[in-house]
Amino acid sequence: MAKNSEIKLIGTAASPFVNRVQFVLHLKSIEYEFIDENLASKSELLLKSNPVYKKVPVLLHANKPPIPESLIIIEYLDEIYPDIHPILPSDPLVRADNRFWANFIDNKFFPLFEELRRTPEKEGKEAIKKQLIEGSKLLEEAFVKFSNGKAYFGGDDVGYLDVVLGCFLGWTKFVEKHNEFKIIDEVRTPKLLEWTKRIWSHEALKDAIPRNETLMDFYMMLQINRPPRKATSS
Amino acid sequence: MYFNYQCFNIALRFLANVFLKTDKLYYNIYFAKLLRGDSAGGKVGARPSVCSPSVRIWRVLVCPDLAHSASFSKCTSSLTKEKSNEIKLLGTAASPFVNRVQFVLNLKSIEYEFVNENLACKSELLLTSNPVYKKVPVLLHANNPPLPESLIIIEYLDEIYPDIHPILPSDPLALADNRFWANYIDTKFFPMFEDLRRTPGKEEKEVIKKQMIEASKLLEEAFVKFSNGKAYFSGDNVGYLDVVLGCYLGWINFTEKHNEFKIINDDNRTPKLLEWTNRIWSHEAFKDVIPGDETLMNFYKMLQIYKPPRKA
Repeated sequence: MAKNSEIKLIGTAASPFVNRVQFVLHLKSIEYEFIDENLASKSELLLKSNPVYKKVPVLLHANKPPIPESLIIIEYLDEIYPDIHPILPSDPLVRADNRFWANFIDNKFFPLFEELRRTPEKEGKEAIKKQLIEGSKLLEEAFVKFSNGKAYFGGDDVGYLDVVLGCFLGWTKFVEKHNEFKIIDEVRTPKLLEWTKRIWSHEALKDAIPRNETLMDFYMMLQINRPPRKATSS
Repeated sequence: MYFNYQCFNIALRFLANVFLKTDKLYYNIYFAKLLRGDSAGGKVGARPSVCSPSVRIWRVLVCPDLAHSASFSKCTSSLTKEKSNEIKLLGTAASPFVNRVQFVLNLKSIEYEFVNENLACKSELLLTSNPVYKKVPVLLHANNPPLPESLIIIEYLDEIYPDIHPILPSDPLALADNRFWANYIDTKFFPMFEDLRRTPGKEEKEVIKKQMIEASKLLEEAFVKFSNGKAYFSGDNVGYLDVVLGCYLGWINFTEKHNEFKIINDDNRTPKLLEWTNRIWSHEAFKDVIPGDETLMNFYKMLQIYKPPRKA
């Protein structure tokens, strides 16, 4: 996928934070070079480009200083290419609302996935599964509100929250399968379920969502490098 | 003690209503002051029983207009000088996240009503305005849906009042850089303060202090880069990062004093940041908002009760 252009994206295929930047680059038809990073052994380029967090994604745009943090990158791309498939809405209140839910998804919802992986005991896992289910209900309500009867959070076409939440669909499926429960299902979150199908088949998004094999490799690496916590005495 | 207040209050209120037709508001305010101590947000931590059933019952009698509110904040705020109309800010004086929104409102000369919140006993207004996080600050702007999250509120205010003292830069790259450091300050730097408070052992506390000192060096570098020789992160005038970091100065002072070490106020390690803090402490839009030691001590005591230090 390496193309020569002004824009390079340091990332790894399994990272949803990288994927969401890829979504936006595709939606805006921006050519870019993907620099694949091995997170178990980080490159000099990554460590220099993001010395504070040492994480992917990092956007390298021409000779400008590197930009880390996926949501910050997305806002940057939307500001330098405002006319091609705008991602964020223009109304200040709706923007604020979008940012609020992005914050919820990244700070409350997705961390539960890692929490679930690292929690050793069955009871602990059940408690987290419950929280994930509660989170999904909130997201269903949010979807109904934002979509207002249309296909996406952004309305007729993919927008900010479609990108911010859509990038987690690969991991959502993976976690559901390996923990034998449903986070998004037809009874509790029917609208969200329909939406996930649209995202999985969307031209600009579908190739960037990682498949089971990619995720399994990454999962194995996490199990080694950040193993589950030790069980406390039962 | 509350039972005595209850009987006394019911009797007096009855008499007042029947014979004097006394202003209910006056009486509510009087009782609110008794409950809350001498100032709004003063001794909130000293009465953890404030939400017990018996208290709720008599509060219905005392303040029926607040029967559904667990806080007397509306009483006390109505006493404050009449400010705008359109914008209300739910908050508490000790919260740096609330303070930074206040900075921006001041810088943009936006009048607003401050609705004081008792975080030990959150009001219905707060719980319905921010049902997801139940936290302050929350901005209520006319009839628009409530807005929580301080950084989101600040970007919103900057978008609806772009011409009065712009807070964020207009250049996309500078914007991205500002947002990056705001993210660092909120997700890496400030959580260390709470971590320090809740960590029990001396050795572990020393580890966190070291991390805070390392972080202060990063912030010194960031300041030098952003200010480019000028007075503030944003140059000649106060801007985004001045507001985002400046709101912590009260807690920084407090933490330094109570843990006997220096985070910022050290001439060798963070000289530019030290000079900057002096400017912030004396800036018109900031100085009356940054909470003093007494406010912070009250809040600290409340935290020690409701979120006590971890067991060793």
